[in-house]
Parts: sequence; structure tokens; C-alpha cells
Amino acid sequence: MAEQGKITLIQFVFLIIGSRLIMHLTFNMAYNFPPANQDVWISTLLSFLICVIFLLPVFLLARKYPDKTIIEYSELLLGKIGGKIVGLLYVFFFLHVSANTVRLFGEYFTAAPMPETPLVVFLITLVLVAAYAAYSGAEVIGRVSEIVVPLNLILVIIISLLVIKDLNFNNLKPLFEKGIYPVMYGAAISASRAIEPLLLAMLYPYINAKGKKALSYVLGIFIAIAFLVAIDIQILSVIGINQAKLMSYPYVNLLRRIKFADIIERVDIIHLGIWILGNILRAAIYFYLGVLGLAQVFSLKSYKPVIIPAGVVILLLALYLYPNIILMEKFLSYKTLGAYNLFFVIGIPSILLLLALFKKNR
Amino acid sequence: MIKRAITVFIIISMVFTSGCWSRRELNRLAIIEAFGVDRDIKSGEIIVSHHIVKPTAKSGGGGKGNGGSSDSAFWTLTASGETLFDAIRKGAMQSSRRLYYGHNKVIVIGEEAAKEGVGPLLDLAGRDPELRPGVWIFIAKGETAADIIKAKSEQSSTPAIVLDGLAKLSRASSYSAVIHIEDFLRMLASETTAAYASRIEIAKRKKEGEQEIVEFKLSGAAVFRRDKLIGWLEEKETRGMLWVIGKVQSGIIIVKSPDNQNVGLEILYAGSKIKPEIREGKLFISIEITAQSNLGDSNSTLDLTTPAIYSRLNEQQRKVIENEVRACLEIAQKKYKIDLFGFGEAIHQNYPEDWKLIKDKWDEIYPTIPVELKIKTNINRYGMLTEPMQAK
Repeated sequence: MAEQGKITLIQFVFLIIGSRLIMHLTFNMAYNFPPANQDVWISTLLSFLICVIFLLPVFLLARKYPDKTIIEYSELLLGKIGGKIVGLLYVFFFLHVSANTVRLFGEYFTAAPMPETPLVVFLITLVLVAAYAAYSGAEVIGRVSEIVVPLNLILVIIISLLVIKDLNFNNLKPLFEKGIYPVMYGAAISASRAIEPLLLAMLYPYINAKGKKALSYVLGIFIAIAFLVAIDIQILSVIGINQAKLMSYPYVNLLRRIKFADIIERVDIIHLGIWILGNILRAAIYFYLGVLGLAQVFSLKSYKPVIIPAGVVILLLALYLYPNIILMEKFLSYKTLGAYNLFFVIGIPSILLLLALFKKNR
Repeated sequence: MIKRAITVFIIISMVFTSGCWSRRELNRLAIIEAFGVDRDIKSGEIIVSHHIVKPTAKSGGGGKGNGGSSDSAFWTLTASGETLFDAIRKGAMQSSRRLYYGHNKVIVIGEEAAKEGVGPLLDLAGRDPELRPGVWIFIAKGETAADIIKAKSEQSSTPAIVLDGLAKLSRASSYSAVIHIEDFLRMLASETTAAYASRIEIAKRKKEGEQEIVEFKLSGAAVFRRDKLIGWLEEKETRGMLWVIGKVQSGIIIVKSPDNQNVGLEILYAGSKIKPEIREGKLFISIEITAQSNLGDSNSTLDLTTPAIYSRLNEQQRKVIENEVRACLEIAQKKYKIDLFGFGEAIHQNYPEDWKLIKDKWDEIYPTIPVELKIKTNINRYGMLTEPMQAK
């Protein structure tokens, strides 16, 4: 096996929270997605149920092959060539997610806090750190998540306390203005952006616990969505949907408004800290999954030799895949990214699951 | 061994070589405390005037800095361009230091520029990360913004501090509607609610040697339709608006004592609720205003602290508030036909179904909506005297 390390259940929960939450602390694109009005937070809330449903294929497969990752059992189910193709698809997907994370990290930095620094500086630094984390293995990434994610959550809570006096809940009215259907559609979109079931699919054999692994996924996604809803409500009730729609980084704008008794102000630097830590974790997770998958596809003894090539691939993808932020947001819009994610989270696992059931019956 | 050497090398170099690419050194910055935006009517160019502190003059110490020294603690820089950003960057041609907006406190917009529309002038304020929220927005009445920015004041060596102080102290009278840029932009982004901003004037000018010393006055409000300035609210009307939107913080209400002398009541607390109601198919707006005050001063010789007189004063206080609100409603609904109070949003929030029907006709419906006022007032205390101070 390419990985000997084990992570604990609580680390797994933190990995899920970190992976789901961090992008939304800066790129809150949801306000322009359906329902695109003050009901966005209800969509986010309802997406919890859909997220749990989306876990099912991966979960059932993992229960069937508890000591294998999705790349290993797809080779069992699809044969050697088919399995390798699916495995490579997943490897590409993970590297791509990591590259997107790295790019968005740099994109925010060059847009707001450090506009004069070239993008590539941020990309290289983050890729280096993520590569080192991946080199250190699952246990180290798990332990990093134990530090980073609670810190992130605490800072988000502190920020929430600071904006309490500005909340105007009238801005959340009227509820269900466009009816229930757009809200449900929005919930599905929000759920389609959660690729965390794949964390379960890849890390299932390495979680050091018997049972309760799916339950810990549900817990993790629940906490992440609770925070997302809190953030949505803060943005909608302080800034309002009309202006949030116009903003690239509504949450950052929210932070910049904070002025507490003329003493606490300019707290957006806190956000920068969260953003850096969270992105290191997220980029490292998917970097690691990518190289682990690559090692498994080619039955390598260790994934360490492929770290440098994978790092180069991530860097190049991050640098050249999108010529500018507009095209990137086009890709990250709900239709494209939703379909792309669901293909990997639901599509392939469902086919594998059908095959597995078929095999058993025969 | 080599590994250890490399580690040590890396750690040492982290200490000595770290730094920021986009760093800003204080001695290379021109710190802008206020800037004004005008529009050249003929060419359509945007003119921006910066009010920049001189660090050396300002750090000259309290003793000699304020004592009427002619050495000004600020300098102004004016530049023009096709857009605001263009003008700002062209200003850099005249400055040896990088123009830095992170400590900007006030944006002043000239009357003519505001009539042309403030949207294009403020796009940058939302887009550029260096311009921060919490900046006051003023509209200069009868002057260009450059006049305000360049003016010298007796109150401080840097007039931008004066402007900032005026805005912070506007709560004492509530005769001026001050607003931060982020809230102003939010009102612009609203489909129905009209934006307002504070009005800055030069109240007095006097010559002192070669210099002209001015006194600023911040009062009233500038009101907008979409992003274009369409008129002004005077002091009483402004407070009427602030009563409705619940932003009155303090101020003096003048009522009459039984012997027809003026009595001042100090406002302690005010709040409001806007409630749209539909009764028998007709739309009403009901505004609930609560206000509490103290007896502040009295020109009368009567003892005002009897229950009967107190309730009479209270009734007059209610009337004064009602008059101020009615005056503002009249001007907003009939004269300018702009929704300064967020009636449209209140209807949208509480009657979403009915809102869909009237949304498109809102501009015609708004001036005709009847408004009911429910004002609850109270006079709490009478200060440190029971009977009036008087000569006997």
C-alpha cells in the first residue's frame, strides 16, 4: 500500500469542514446563482440534505470494499484498463481541484491585498507548501487540519459577534419570494459544489476507526453548512442582496465595514490569515489525494516519487488553464462546475455501484 | 550535516530577507485625508482634488504647530482625467510620493458633478481595495469640491480633520444627514430607495493676510434620484427624514411654555418602525416613532415640573416631530417624488405578492400613498434644576 498512515475520525471531520468552508470565505458566488435573492441562505441550509444523499453511492461502495480506495476498487470492477482510465480521471480531478484552489488563492491576493505582486509568486509558494504537506503524508495533513480548522471556525465566530449590531433581519424578508422551486434548485447547486464525498472515497481505508465514518462525514458537512448559513445570513442582512450581487468578495466587504467602538477596526487582516491557512490545507488535501491516486493507479510502492511532477502539473494548470478571472468564473459558475463535480461525485460512483451489485447477484 | 546547514541557512535568510512585495513605506506615501471630485462641464473630464497631510509640518508639536503659523500642514493636488482612476493616476505625475488612500476620511463631491450623476464617480470606491468603507460622503452646495478641499480652517491645521469631526458631531443636532460611503452605495444599489448624503457649505469667509480662512457648515441633506442630485433638504426636513428612518440620535426640540416662552427639550432616544398596511384594498404606510427627551432649558419663569404642564409640553413635542416629518414627507412625496425612507422595500418585504403588482408602477404610486404617523413621546427628567433659574 502506498500509504501506511492513519487519520482519526475527528481529523477526518476537520478535513471535510476545511475543504468545504474555505472557498466561501472569499468567493461567495452563490448570490448570483438561483434563487439569486434573499433566499440564498435557505438554499444553503437545505443543501445539507442533498449533500447527504449525494454521499450514498460512495458510502455504499466504501462499505463493500472497506480496505480499498475508489481507485483500487474501480480496477476490481471495471478490469485493468477501464479501472486505470477511471483512476486517471480521478487523479486529474484531484489535481485540478488543487490547481483551482491555488489559483483562487493567488487570484484573491493579486486582486485585493497585494495587487503589485505577480500571481505566480503566490502560486509557487502555495504549491511548495502543499507539496511538502503531501510528502509528509495523510497523518501530517490530518494534524494540520486539527490546528487550522478550529482556528478558522473561531475566527469566523469572532467576526460574527462583531457584526451582530449591524444585522438587519428585514433584509431577509420576504421568504420564498420566487417560490420553493428556485430555492430547491439553489440547494442542489450548493450541494453540487461539495466534492467532499470523494474524501470519504479516498480516505476510507485510512481512517482509524470502525464504522461511523459516514456519520462523521455527515457531522463535518453539517458543521460546514452551519457556518456557511451563518455567513450567508450575515452578508444578506448587513450588506443586502442587491449589493452583495455586485461584489466580488462580499464577505471581505462585510469585514471591512466592521468598526467596533472606534477600537476594533480593519479586521480584514484576520480574514487574510484564515484564507492563507485554509488554502494551504485545501490545496494540500487534494494534492495528496492526487498523488496517492496516481501511485495506486500504477501500483507504485510509494507516492513520493510523483510529488514533484504532480506539483509541476498543478502549478501549470493553475497558471495557464484560465487566462483571466472572468473565464475562470465562467468555469466555476453553477452549470459547468456543478455538472463537472457531479460526474465525479455521483456519476462514476453510481456506475461502479451498479456493477458491484450486478457482480454480487451473479 | 549538509541538511542541517541548509536548514540553518534557510532560517537565517527568513529573518533577513523577508518582507512584502507590495509594501508601503511611510516616507514614500502621500497620505490623503480627503479628496474631492468635480466634473468639468465643458469637457466632461473628472477633476479630483486631494487633501494631503504634510508629515513634517504636522509633527511639529502642539506648541508652534497651531499658533497661527502660516506654514500649512497640508497641501492640495489637483488633476483631471477621463475617469476618476485616470485623474488619480495623472495626479501621480505631480507628486513625489505615492498617493495613499487608506486613511482617507471624507469624499466631497461638487454640486455640478453630483447633478451629472455620482455613479461613475464612486465605482472606484467600491472596486478598489485601497479605498476603505467608513468614509463620509459630502456634497458641496454652491461650491466645487475643490473649494472645500483647498479651504483653510481655524479649527485645525488639517481641515480634513474638521470635516470628519463635523460628521461625527452631527448627532448633537441631528439636523444633518451623514452617511458612510458603503451605505450610500447600498442605497444606490436599491431599486426603490433614494439615496441621500450630507450637505457641506462654506458658511463664512474671512481674509487673514493673504490667506482666506473659512468656516464649514454641515447641515441638511442632498437627495438623489437614481444617482443624480435633484435637490436639498433643509435642516427641519432633514430631521424629519431621520425621524422616519430612525437615525435621530440627539438634538433640541423647541416647544412653548404656558406663558409662551421657548423651552428646549433634549432628545435622548428615538426609534422608528415603518409598517406598510393594506386595509380594504388600499395601501397605507404607518410610521411608528418613539422619542424620549429631557427638559433641557427654559426661557420661562414658570415652574414647568407639574404633571399638567409636562403633558402639555409632551403633546407639543409630539406635534413638533409630526410637523418635521410631515414637512419631509411633503417634499419627498410631492416635490421630488423620491422614496427616501425605504417604503418600497418595506412593502416588498411585508407584502411580496402585492409588491409584484405595483412594482412597475411604483414611481406613480409612491407620491399618492397616505402616510399615518403614530408618535409616542415622553419627557423623562428635568436636569439639575426643579424650578427655573430666575432673578428675584
